[in-house]
Amino acid sequence: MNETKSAGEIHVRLEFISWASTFVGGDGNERKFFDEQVPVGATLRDVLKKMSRRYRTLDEALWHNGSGELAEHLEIAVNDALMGIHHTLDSEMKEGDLVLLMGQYMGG
Amino acid sequence: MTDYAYAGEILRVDLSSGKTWGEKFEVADRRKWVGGAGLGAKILWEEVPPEVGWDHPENRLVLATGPLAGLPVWGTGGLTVVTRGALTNGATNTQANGFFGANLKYCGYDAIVFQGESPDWVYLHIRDDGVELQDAGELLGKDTWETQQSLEKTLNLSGHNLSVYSIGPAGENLVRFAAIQGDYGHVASKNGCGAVMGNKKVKAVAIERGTKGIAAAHPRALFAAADDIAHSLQTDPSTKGLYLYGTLGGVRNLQGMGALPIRNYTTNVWPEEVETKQWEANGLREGFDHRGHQCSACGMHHCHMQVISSGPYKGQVVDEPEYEGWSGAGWTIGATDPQQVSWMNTQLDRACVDVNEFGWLCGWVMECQQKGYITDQDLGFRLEWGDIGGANRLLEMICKREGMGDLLAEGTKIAAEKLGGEAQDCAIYTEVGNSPRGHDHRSRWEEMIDTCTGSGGTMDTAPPVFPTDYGLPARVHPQDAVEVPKHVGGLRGRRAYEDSLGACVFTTRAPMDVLCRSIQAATGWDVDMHEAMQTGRRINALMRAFNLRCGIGPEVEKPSKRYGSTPVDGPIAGVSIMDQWEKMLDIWYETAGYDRETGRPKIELLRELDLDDVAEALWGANV
Repeated sequence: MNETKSAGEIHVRLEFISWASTFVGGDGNERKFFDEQVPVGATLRDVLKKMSRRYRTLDEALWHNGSGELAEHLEIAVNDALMGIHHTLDSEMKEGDLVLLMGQYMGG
Repeated sequence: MTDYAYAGEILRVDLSSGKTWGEKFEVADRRKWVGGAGLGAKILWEEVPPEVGWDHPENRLVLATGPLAGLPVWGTGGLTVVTRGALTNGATNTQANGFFGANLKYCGYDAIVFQGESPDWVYLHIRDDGVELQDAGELLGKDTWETQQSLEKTLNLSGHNLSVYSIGPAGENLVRFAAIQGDYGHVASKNGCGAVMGNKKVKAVAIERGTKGIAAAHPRALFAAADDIAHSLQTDPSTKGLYLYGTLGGVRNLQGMGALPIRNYTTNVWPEEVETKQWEANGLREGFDHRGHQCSACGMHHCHMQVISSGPYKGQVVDEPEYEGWSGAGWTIGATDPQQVSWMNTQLDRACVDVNEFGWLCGWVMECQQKGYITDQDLGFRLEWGDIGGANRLLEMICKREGMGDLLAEGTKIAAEKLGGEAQDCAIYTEVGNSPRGHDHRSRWEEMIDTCTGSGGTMDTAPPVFPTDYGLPARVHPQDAVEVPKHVGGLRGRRAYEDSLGACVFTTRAPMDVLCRSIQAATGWDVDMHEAMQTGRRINALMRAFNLRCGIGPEVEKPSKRYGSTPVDGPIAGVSIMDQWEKMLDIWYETAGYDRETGRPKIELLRELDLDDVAEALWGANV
């Protein structure tokens, strides 16, 4: 799933693994990739909002009661570092950033 | 008054005299302590003074269930074990499922309390009102599955008509992380409860499915609440995966978070040669011939039996590992073949040790051998990363206390302290002595602080369940040193309440108001979310008071050097929890209402929890 980059835009790749893939049409046991183009200056929140507008199930799982805050169901990493280390929701995305979404796991 | 939801009696077993008797579970105590963890905490506090250590005959071993057991809410065969445990010599609160709770209540009992010490090995046989201690001489040396098979033959019963919970060779030989296993694959694993059972010379408890009914106060409302819980489990984004695959999804998710403990915390990066697909949830399930092995009244696609389909153990029937099994019998020790890991997991269940503690111990030995801290001569053989045959050999040495196995049977903390030096620096344990779960908690700060401050031999709060129910944020960043301890402290209570219900914590992962509706319908009480949380916090506070009385205080609430180390690679490379540790403890203590200096629950909290007697015992003249 690719978009063509225009001037003033950057490409960001999103990867949904395992259970998180069910929120974007997957079967829960696969990796699903999306190459998105977003305006220069877009934040992580903008990228996630863009995706969640396309998938209602993702929108319900990702955001707490439709607010701008994350719900507890998904964990996010940017460039293989968990969100909170180098990035927050309001961090500006860079060309080629990889956003990984995975299910929260509770153990057993 | 009708005993709604309760059988109404506690079965007392004095092993020293061989006497057994029923004792009324007082109505006044039921709502205050509920059952399970709450009832056990009360008995521990009242009957086990500080001088009675884990291996003292007068230690109590409480096998309790709760008000939901035997009723139609999913996963309600629950067993909670409470005792003074062997790893920490402090309070223990650990659970297993299967059919124990339901069958016990159908026989007329809400709990079994063992006290004293039998002169000879026995098993307890319960058949409605018939309660007998029987000679267990012929069961000695058998593993837990062999023990169940033997008792099925002796009693001419099988399937759900007989629930057997037993210890294996590990418990017989007082391995400090021995567990209690039942109904082929359900393990109460924490804090060496199996060693306590072994010390009392009780090999097994065999409960025939009784004939007594359990009344619900409002049966139609109970069915409606049970249905709503099931619907929530099947549809909520956080539980749907659990409903379909149990905990199998954990490996990939935790690997993505840097929370899969790989090779004793030496790396957080998955080896390139690993085939990702086979570690997905359905890869782990479909890679085996399998069938459902559900617990009492449960509709989850969770517990399964499976057949090893390839490799040296092909054809053997095993219990599908939980996530903790894939971790402790697999990734922690560098094993990456699911077929062999699954086989090893069942060997651990059969010998009957805690899979987490074995993982930390075996992974530590492997790393120490690689680095030359433990020689081939010390151990008696060479144990390389991922060597399942060698891991099983190590397990046998531990269970028989042969050679170096005698030291390793004391658990990771004691063994590491004995070896000292650089070897000790590699070992994963808490200074309290309890076993962390099979996660890399350097990426899950909430679990590390919970594991180190928990009072029941494991975590008190455990992962958050619908935190917004309690006015907390839906999620916090896993490495937020301010919000994480607020979350852990603020959610404290729910898990202890769940552990008192006779239900599985995977099926109580529903919104608290729905769960409360099931308890209201079962008991007739007007219990609400606030009461549930306060009850859980009462149980937590009492277990903490017990530990403080035993000399376990805040000075040991910290991770070992390796457990609290900084990851060198992966999603949290370079992020140190120990830089934030004291600050996190400060916040956790404040949120919990405990005194930071002494570790005691504060007087006002104890009064609020209706624990005035405990306040007086802890604070004396200051009250």
